[in-house]
Amino acid sequence: MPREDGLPPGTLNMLILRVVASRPLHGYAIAQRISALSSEELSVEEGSLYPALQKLLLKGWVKAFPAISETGRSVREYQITALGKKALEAELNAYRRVNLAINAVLDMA
Amino acid sequence: MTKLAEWMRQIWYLLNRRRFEEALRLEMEAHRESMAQPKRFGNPLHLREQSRDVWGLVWLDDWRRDFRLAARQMRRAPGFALTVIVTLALGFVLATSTFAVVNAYLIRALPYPESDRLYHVRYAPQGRPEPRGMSRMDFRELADVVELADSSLLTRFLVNNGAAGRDAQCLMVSQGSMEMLGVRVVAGRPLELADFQAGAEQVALVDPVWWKSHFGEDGSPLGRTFRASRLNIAEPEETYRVAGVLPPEFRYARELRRGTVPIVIPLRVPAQSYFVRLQGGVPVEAAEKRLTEAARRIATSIPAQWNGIRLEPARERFIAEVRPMLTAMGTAAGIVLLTVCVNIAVLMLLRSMRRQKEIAVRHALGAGRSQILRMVAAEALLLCGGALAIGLIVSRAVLGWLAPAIESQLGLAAPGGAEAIGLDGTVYAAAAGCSLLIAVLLSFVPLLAQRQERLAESMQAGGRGGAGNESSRWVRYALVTVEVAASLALLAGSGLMIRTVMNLVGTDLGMSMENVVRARVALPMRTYPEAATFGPFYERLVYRLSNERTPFALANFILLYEAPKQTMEVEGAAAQRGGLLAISDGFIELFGMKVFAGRGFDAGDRAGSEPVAIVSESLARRTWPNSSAVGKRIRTADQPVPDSPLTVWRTVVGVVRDVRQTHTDLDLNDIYIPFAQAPSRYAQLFLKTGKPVSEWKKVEAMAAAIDPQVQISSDFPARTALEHEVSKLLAGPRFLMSSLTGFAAFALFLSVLGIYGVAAFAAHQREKEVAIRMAVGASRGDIVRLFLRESALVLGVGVLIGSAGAAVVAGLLRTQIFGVQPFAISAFLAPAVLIVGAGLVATLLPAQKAAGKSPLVALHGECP
Repeated sequence: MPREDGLPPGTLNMLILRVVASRPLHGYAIAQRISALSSEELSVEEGSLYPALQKLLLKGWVKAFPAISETGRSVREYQITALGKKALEAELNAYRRVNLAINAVLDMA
Repeated sequence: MTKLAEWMRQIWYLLNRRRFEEALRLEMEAHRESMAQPKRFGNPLHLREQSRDVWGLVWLDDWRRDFRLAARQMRRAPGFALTVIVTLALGFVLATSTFAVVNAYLIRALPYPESDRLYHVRYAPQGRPEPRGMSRMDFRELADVVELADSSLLTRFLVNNGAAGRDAQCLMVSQGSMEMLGVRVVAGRPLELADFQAGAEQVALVDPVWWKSHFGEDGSPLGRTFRASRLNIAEPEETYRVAGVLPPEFRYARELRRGTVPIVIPLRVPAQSYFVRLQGGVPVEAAEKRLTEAARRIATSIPAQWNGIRLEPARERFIAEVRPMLTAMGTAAGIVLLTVCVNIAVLMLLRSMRRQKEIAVRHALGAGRSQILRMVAAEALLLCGGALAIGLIVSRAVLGWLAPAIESQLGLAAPGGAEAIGLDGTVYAAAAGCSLLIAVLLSFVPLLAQRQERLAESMQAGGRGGAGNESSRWVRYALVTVEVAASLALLAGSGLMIRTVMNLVGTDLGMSMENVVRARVALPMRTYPEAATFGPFYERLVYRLSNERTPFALANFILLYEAPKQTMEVEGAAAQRGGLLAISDGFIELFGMKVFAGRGFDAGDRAGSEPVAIVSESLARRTWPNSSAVGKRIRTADQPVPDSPLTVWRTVVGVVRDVRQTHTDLDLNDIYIPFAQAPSRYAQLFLKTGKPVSEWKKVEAMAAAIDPQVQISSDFPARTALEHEVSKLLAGPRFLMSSLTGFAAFALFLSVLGIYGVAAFAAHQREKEVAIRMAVGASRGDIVRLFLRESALVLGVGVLIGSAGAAVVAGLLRTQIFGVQPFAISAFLAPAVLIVGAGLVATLLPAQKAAGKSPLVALHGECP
């Protein structure tokens, strides 16, 4: 059972893709980065993060490779693929469209 | 495309599950340790499982786990697993091997292109006259129904090799027939259109093995020439050039029974077609109708009451004789497999009842009905799969080893050769399908016994001490009843065959065949055009043979073969039907036939002397019940030809003991005439000798000295001892008897095992009930009777149902039995007594054990 993390449904994949799009990151770093960038407003729980990562791996949107972390541990870093970039693009467009629509409704009603 | 890639990745994950799981674990570990408050990281195992579920194919993993569990269960109870696998594997071996034989003969297509469209053309029923002029049938007009027509003729060819001639089978093949039958030459060229033109050079296709044995020459026969003529036609020898080499063991598809054909030549004259390939999709009835219409149009004469042309499937014509036998064997094997399955169902049922505690715990821990079913199914699949693998491997070996023996036992080569008796796609598919079905059925068996028990209840030692719930008890008894019924059906069938074989073996043929060997004598038409020329040859042969000490005899008929009967006209009495046989004067002594009245033939009964006859005891008694046959006059009345040796009035000079041609020959009315008074083109020569090889050499030399053209034939019937041929006549029934008896014994063993298992289980379950009964005064006898009564009920119902099954088996065997009534009470009684007796003994052991236990010990578990 994933814990409540305050994320609108369906946006976790997009966030993960977006943060690994700038540079390869390992799991903990992804969670940290999402949290930091959102000024700790959004927190990604492990219970959601790892299943989501596995899903992205299966879809071929990210790929994993072994690396050494800043603290010297061997970790798996995730890097976005060409397919992932395309998917991110599509998701961002869809998200922005929906977001605009929702905002329009909220503002006008 | 991306979906496909995703699936591929899924499979890749599945295959490398361990590695990926480990990576995930390390990754999460690292994550946890990096956290400020590692405790906030959830349950790692649970998280890992959640992530893993994303990989999909969870059900596959579940099955894998269940299979591993099943394998562990088997290791824990190896006795059970072993019993199930061994009995099921044995059942599979029996069923698969039998099915492979049935498949080879009855199911597999003949080895010819489009063989399911090949039909034998029957212009009239067997033994009835055919319409005349059928060789003019124009099949081009029938092209809408008949694709190809074959008018090839199988004939005997007398091939001149300079020495004493030996004839060989020769196929005069009609144009296009070799292509229709898919025969390809292995060297040289096939027959071409020009070869069929009158006046062209005569060519032949030959078998190199025959060529070598006939001419004693090594090397390819291609391009060589030989001179030959047909044995039964007065034609001059012609020269043939070998144009191509036949494939080994070539046989003519329409006459598969006639054996290999070493020579093929083109047929240049129109002949009647007896073999056709229909156009695809044409119903047989439609083709029959069209052929019959065409026949009526072109016939020069049509016999009275002619019912038209019938088409017989090519394979049917070949296998019709073995079909009843194979059907019976296939059915028996099916019943055996059923018994095996039922027996295993009983075992699994008992076992699952013993496992009720474990299952109740699983239920309590949250396993649903479907999970339990999957667990049981995994076990059943594993058992069936193991048994199937063993069964197939063993069947393969057994068939490879026994195929030639099976062919000779059935008396018929498999249409596709001995290799065809093996495991092909059909057999594999049937075996796999069958085992899957069994596994599925077995998976549901334990559910029958399942009661939705409360955990506490089944955790109590032995429950409430009852004998299981009512419904599961009925299931057990019903299963054992089926076993008993199936065994009874098989036992009854095997009993019928045992008595048949005993009757056959006990039948006295009335002739002693000890040390008698035989060969066929054939006088070629070219040098012996008419009957008048036969006598002198045989006189000279008999003269030379008489100078040797070896007893010999001549006859005009093939021994061990029921000849058609003829009508005999009797002077001063009603006409009779009987067999007409010409024998030389040594025949009666050679075969030890007893002369009851008058005399046998002697050297005085020659051509030109008074026409005489000898009649069999039965014919004499029937024709002249009140007086002696000797001195009476008789002649054949069928198709009387004036002055023919067969139709003159003959005086009866003796009465001999009845003789049977086969073990099932029931018509013993025979009339014998002297061979010298009715010599024939084809004859059988018999020698009574312990040294057949050297004796035949001498006889061949003698015949060659008289006329090298005369055939003392070696290939048919083979120069084997008659005793051997007689025992071969019984090979079929013996084979059926031994297989059925084997099947029945196995089934009986299994059902006794089943009865024992159920009784032992009941005794164990009812331990406390028995103890209470004994404590309140029941004697040991009472207790034993209690168990016997239950078994007796099962056995009684099983026997009742089994009798119906036995009647079905007897019906299948109807044409295979001899001297027994298929539905006689006695045929059912003995097996029923056997099975009831065995069943009661199997109950007695556990019942006595239960009765022998002290009530104190049995009840101890419930005492505080």
